[in-house]
Amino acid sequence: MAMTQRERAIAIVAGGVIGVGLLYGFVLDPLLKRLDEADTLLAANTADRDAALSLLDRKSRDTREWRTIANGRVPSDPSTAESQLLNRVSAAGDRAGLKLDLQARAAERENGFDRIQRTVSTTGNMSKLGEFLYALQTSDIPLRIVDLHIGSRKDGTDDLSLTMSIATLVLAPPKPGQTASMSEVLR
Amino acid sequence: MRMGSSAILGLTLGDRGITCAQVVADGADRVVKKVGRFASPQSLLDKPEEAGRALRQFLDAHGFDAGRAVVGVPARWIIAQEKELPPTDTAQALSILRLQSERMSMGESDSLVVDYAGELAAASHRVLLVGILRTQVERIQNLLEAADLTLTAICPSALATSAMVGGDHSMLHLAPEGAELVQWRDGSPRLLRPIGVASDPAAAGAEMRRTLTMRPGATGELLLCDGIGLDTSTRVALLTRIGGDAHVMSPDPSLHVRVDPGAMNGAALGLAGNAHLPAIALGVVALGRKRLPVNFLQSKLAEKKNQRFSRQSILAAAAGVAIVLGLVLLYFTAQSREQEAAEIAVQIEKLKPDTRNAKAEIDRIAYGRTFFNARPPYLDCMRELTLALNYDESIWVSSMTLRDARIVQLQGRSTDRRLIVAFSERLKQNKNFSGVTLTDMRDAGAKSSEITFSINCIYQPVPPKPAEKK
Repeated sequence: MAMTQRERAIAIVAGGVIGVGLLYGFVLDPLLKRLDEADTLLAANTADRDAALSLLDRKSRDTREWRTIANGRVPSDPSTAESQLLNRVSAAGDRAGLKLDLQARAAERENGFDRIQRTVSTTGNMSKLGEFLYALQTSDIPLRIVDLHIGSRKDGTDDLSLTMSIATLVLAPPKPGQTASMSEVLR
Repeated sequence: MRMGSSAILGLTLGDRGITCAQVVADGADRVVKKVGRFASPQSLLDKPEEAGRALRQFLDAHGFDAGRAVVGVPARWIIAQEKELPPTDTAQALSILRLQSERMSMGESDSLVVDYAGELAAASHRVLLVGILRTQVERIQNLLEAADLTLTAICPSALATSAMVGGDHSMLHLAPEGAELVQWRDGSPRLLRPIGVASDPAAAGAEMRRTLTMRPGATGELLLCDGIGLDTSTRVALLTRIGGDAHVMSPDPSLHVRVDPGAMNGAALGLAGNAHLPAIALGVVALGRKRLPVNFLQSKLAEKKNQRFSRQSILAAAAGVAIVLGLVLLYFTAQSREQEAAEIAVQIEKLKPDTRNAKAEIDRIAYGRTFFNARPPYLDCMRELTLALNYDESIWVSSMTLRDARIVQLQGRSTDRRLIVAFSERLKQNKNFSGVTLTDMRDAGAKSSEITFSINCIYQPVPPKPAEKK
């Protein structure tokens, strides 16, 4: 049966619409979804890679900075570290005119370091205690006041008691499998 | 500057000269802007390139600025034969005419360019087959190319001139190169032939009379196109010889053709009588007032190449190819991005041990710093607490504990509860302290009028603002 021109035009338009619909549904839409997913994945992976590279970069910067700060002042030998700590604390106490009572505490391992701790007790006025604390806080060795208690021995007088925990660092021996550069970095 | 498509040059070629007329469309009218005569010392088509360059100079010198041209050729260069076709359809008629044109070429089908004048659908089925040597056409093309003009049509001058006149008529065209006779019947040209020399108008008139007498059925006006400038007595004698109602042609306002007053100045010198009329007619007809009876550049007998594919098919195919290419591009783009994402994932996987180590090292270094330049600022904390206590108030701290680098526990006494609350408020307003809590406030005992208190807070020093740049 021959079609009229109008019927042929309608058939072509209808066929075109159906064809476009099928093309969109079965080819274009899945492709667009795939492209969208690929874009999302690419963006996420790129962000992760950038974060990782940024972390490595920060590690390099921190390592350089740490080398400048530590500058060979972190010993790897516990006895050296202990003697260094005692010398500095005693010297600070002498300069402030304080009599110190030092008690040893067990060493702890933390964040790749061995931490040697001492409990320091003394009495004195606020000026002497302040001078002592300042000397410790500006010490040239790795030294940190962990906690501190100041109490009044007698109400209404400048007679105070000080009890505090101080700590110094020792490089922990590398664990099996740990890279040699790690202890080198931390030195 | 060349004018736009509304301007066209009508050029009537002779052996030793070209008559030029520049015609422009002005609404319904056609205006003749320039008329001129280019004379050549030698035969024009012997050296067409040279003549073309000279023509260009002539046109530039006299202000002819149209870029397109239609060329009229004398009847002496033409072979014209009237053909009667049997009752048949157009395609068949065309085939017959092609066969006839080959016969006119005497077997050398390429030697002549042949077109026909007339309507194949007309009942009479009589047409005028008109041919010109292909070499002449090529020379004309070379001439126009050298003159930097776009050639749009080549037509016998006399046919174009007579095409301006409607209805059946016979026209005697007197040109310097010779006399020509054209006859139109039933709206189509039926006769085109040179009839002797123009220098003897009487002989030409007699020849016209004889020819018309021998062609029964010739009706309509008898026209004279005077291109040689006859004097009045000669012209009257000639008109009398041709026939009683014969008259001279001119660019008649009834044809909507106006000649600009300045058109005939300068370059028009040397034009005799109505010698410019065929050039004007070529321009007017080419601008669409009438259809050129024949055009050797676009012969109606030329076989049209059957296109294998219709325009719609080509467009549809192009659209299909574009869609497919777009989809392929989309596919490869998606694939390329997936591949790139996978490559980056592999890089991340390779970096994982390094990043794990880096993170651990950064943590260790941060911890190590707390033993050097990032020590807990205990003295600063004590200073801030001391500043919060007013010396003139009866309130004092009896015990202070600092631990974990920032947790502060205070115990003290005062004689007034309000002083304790005020001290607590001052700590709260200090930006270096947070979580200030007055945990306990009670009477010291029956023997004392003092009040004990306990305050907990967190010391978090605010880093100093960088100095403002001037």
